[in-house]
Amino acid sequence: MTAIIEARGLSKRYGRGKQAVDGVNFTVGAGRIVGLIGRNGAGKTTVIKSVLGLTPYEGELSVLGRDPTTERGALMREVSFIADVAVLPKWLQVKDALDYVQGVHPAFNRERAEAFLAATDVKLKHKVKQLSKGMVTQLHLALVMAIRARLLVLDEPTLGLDLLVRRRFYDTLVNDYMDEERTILVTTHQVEEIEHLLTDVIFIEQGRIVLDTPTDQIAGRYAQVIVTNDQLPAARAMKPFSERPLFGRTVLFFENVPPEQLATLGEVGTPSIADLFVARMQEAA
Amino acid sequence: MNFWNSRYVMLVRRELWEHRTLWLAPAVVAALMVILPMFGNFRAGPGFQINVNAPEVPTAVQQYFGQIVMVSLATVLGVVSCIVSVIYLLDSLFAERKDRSILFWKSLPVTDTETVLSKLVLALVIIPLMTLLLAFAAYCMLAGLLYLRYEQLRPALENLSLAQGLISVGQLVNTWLFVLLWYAPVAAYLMLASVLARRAPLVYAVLPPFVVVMIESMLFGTDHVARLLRRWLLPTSQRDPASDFRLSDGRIMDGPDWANALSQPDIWLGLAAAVVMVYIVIRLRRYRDDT
Repeated sequence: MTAIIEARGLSKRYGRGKQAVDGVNFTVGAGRIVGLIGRNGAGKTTVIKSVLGLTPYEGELSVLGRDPTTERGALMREVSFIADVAVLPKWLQVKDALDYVQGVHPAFNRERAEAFLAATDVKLKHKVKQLSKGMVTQLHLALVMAIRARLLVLDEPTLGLDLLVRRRFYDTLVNDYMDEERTILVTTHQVEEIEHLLTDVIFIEQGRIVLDTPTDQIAGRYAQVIVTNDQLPAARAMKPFSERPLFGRTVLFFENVPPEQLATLGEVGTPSIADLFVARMQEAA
Repeated sequence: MNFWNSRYVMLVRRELWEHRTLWLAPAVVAALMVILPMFGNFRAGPGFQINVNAPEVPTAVQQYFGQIVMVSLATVLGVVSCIVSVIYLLDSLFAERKDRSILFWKSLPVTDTETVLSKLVLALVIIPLMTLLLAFAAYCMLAGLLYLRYEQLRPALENLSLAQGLISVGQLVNTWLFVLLWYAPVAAYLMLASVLARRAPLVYAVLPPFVVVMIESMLFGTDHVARLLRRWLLPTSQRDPASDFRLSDGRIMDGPDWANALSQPDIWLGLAAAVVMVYIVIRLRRYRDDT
């Protein structure tokens, strides 16, 4: 597995304020779709901005074998990103946006961008200021998805989009964009929508990584069991790391406890990434 | 990929999409200067004729009428372009941070050096040359339309020749080259204000020299900085006024005194300051976290 992103002791402090990222280590391999998941202010965006060379940081960081601070120009030929939605300038015409990206980016495929836009209400003659926020995001996604980049970084790419558009975006991303030579690093609030397509998840809380695992290992490591109230003391005795009430019953989350031990207590399953995230955050709190 | 879609042309076109006044304002003024004279009324009476070749009109005006018109058009358009260019430079690295579009521009493989230099070259080279071309086009159209519109002006219009216009174009290119070198530090300074400003880049540009002049005058009662600024911004005010617009070699305009300018340290110090400021601007756009 070739490392696309390699972070060692990545740290960032804003002024004398809080430590936004605190000595983070992680590796993103080629061909992975990694979800970076955390609450607002947990440090997700700072990690992403460091990876993209948009902000100074401490520690070691290598992206596609390059230093994002000193080799940013070369890096941007192979990396594309959406660091925030709705940042396309109001005066930009859709047609001009396509012309511009085509002019400056050797790996831009205009037909692909136009095909994506054809299925939306965005017309070539529109200016960005005439578009709704959702349409601006669609334009931005169309531009970025038409770039054949080795690494695609998306920070809350579907913020403000309705469900249909979000679904279509992720379908396009997985079916048309993704192949073994590409890697995606994505953050989102809507974990439930993308958890089936992630190959890895990294949970970040208060600038530290609290979980970093391939999604296919979650089932072997984590289990949830839904128990009735009379089973609750027995279940708690097995040291769940978190629990939450569910319609008069309780869901308990366990790490590294064999499922057969839990089966006597109630309905055993694999927690979803969203549940796991909430459970982890409750544990940290 | 043709010329208009090539990389560096695209960077410049991007600027012109965003700052439409850069070409609109001079174009509108040029159009007005061509069109408005068409509404004049020279039918003062039967047999009335305007003749700039008449004996009472000074010989110089007769001979150099074409140059006078061309230089006047270029001067008006030059002033307009100058004003819009100053506004442009102040906005050039500020607007992208204000509307956060810098996050989009930085996601593309265009280096900060390329971005900053494309903006500087647009203001110092492309806009002046476009303005000159526009002035010459206006000159040709004005000459042609006046000829068609006013029969009684035709004798006078013979001096509004292509050759006379071209002499002035050559002179104006010469002047522009001097202006380019002399005002490069001003342009770089405006970009520095633009990249530093949190709001109102004009205030960031004007306030520091103003404060320095005030402090100097209060503490020492002198005006060295003010005089330096005046000399830098208005270099012709140092000249002997009598030497301006004197006729030399069949041209109404004095070209810049190159031998003198290049042997004096001023222009070189100015250029060195410009290079340092542009370097700082590039570093700031590159390494500062603007988001």
